[in-house]
Amino acid sequence: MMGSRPRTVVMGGSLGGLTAALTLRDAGCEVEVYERSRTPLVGQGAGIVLHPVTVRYFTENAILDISRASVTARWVRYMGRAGDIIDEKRCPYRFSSFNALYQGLLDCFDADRYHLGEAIVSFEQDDDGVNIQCASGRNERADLLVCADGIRSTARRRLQPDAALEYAGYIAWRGTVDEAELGSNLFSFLRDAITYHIMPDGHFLTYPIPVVDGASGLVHPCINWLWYRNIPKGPELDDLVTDRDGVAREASVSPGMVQERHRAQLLADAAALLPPPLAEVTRDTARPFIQLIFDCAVSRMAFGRVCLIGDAAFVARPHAAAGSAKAAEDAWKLSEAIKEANGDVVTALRSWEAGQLLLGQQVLARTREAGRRFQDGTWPVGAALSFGLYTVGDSTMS
Amino acid sequence: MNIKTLQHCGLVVRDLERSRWFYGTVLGMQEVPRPANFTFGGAWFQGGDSQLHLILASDTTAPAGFVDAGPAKHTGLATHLAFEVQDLAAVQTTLARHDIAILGGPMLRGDGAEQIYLHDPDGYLLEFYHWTDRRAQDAPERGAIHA
Repeated sequence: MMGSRPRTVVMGGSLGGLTAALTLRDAGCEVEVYERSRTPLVGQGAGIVLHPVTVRYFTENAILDISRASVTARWVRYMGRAGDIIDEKRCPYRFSSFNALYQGLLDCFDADRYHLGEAIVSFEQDDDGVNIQCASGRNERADLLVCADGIRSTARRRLQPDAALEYAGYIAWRGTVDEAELGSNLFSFLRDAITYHIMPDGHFLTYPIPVVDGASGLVHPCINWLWYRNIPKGPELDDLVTDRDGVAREASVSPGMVQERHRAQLLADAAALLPPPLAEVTRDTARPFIQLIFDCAVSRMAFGRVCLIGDAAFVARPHAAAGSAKAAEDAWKLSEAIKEANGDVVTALRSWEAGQLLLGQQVLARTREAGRRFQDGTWPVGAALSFGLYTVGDSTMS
Repeated sequence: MNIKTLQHCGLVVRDLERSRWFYGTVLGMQEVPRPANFTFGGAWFQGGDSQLHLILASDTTAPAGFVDAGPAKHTGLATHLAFEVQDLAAVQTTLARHDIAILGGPMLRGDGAEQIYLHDPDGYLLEFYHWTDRRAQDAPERGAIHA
């Protein structure tokens, strides 16, 4: 037990914020989580390739059976233009979903310390603490403020206003389909693999994710797919991100909000360009949606008693499957540093920062390079996947 | 009566050069001539259709600056002046370069405006906002502030 119990506020209650809240609580901090959303978070069918650190909280505390919150597949496959399998290797990865992990973490945290609808709009620190102001009028004083407020972090914009989100030059069309929508033959074929199709100007992938039935708690797999397509900044992109209400979205267009003519164009392109099974996956998805791909790097993550973790610090492209793992790693290392410094927050953040900056820079560099090769047609068919946190391959979880 | 616009605000300032730097250099407002018969210290600035009329504190009996609003200044629940800008991120970058602290935000107002609050050198509370396409439901509840 530490000499003092640092009073800690976590800004943002998603996967990174919850992992920070849990590990810091267990390290002896008094933790409150402020999440700006008024309702519990729901991932838009987002699949997550697991890394050991992503589920470390569950495994170390034997709280959640990982096999109930994730699915495995036997194969990593590359599919040719005709829908044929041109390369096939054993698959050492596990797949989960945002919703499964979020619910699992949320169940571990104290419900009365997880505050929905609280947006932190200001924080000022002095020698002894941080004053935190919420839009709701609530104000708090804390020893430590952990900012885990995601890709469009307002904390990052306050602390590092020059660290802008840089559009990577491509978007992902994505969606999920279940067995009933897809038909059982194609479903069972895709269910057992992570499947890639490499194109001259983009790539398509599918993998199975667990969907937890709210009522029964039973897990049944769905197919999660992503089609990464190059679209330069300009009128075409502006048009694509304009939703049904005529609103130009900055980072994503949600399921159900994509304009019908854009979905029609997607299906036409899929029929013309994709292997027939993948065109069918696209066609059978009732509500595909769009995610823009960004990079973002910060030059600092620790600012006295305030720190940035996860996507609030570095935003990396999805090709390493390391986004949620990086946030979890930032959180675990932070709680270890706090314990190490016996609750001295400023010392802990200072010693924590260097390793996490390096991690962020490495993930960013690796995903940029993978993204370049996936999007210009130079990714070699049959190559091992770029999944991994510190190095490629360290996310193996068979 | 039919009010057309709030055309200017008059601000009493303690140090004219410091305020020229803030409003002219940092915020990029254009200094415009004052009437020749104004023999007291001051300066006028133009931004869009609006003006600021600065009045030197040592040449008047009026005090400079607003009373510090306490925690309410972070969410703008205090007397303030609001400036519409094209790009709030650019304003933030400029403020950071000049080491000027942001007191609150960036945050959504609920009508699509995204805003920040800060103090000018005399302690006037200023709001800067730009228009976004973010929906009302993205905006946090703005509640009463108690000390």
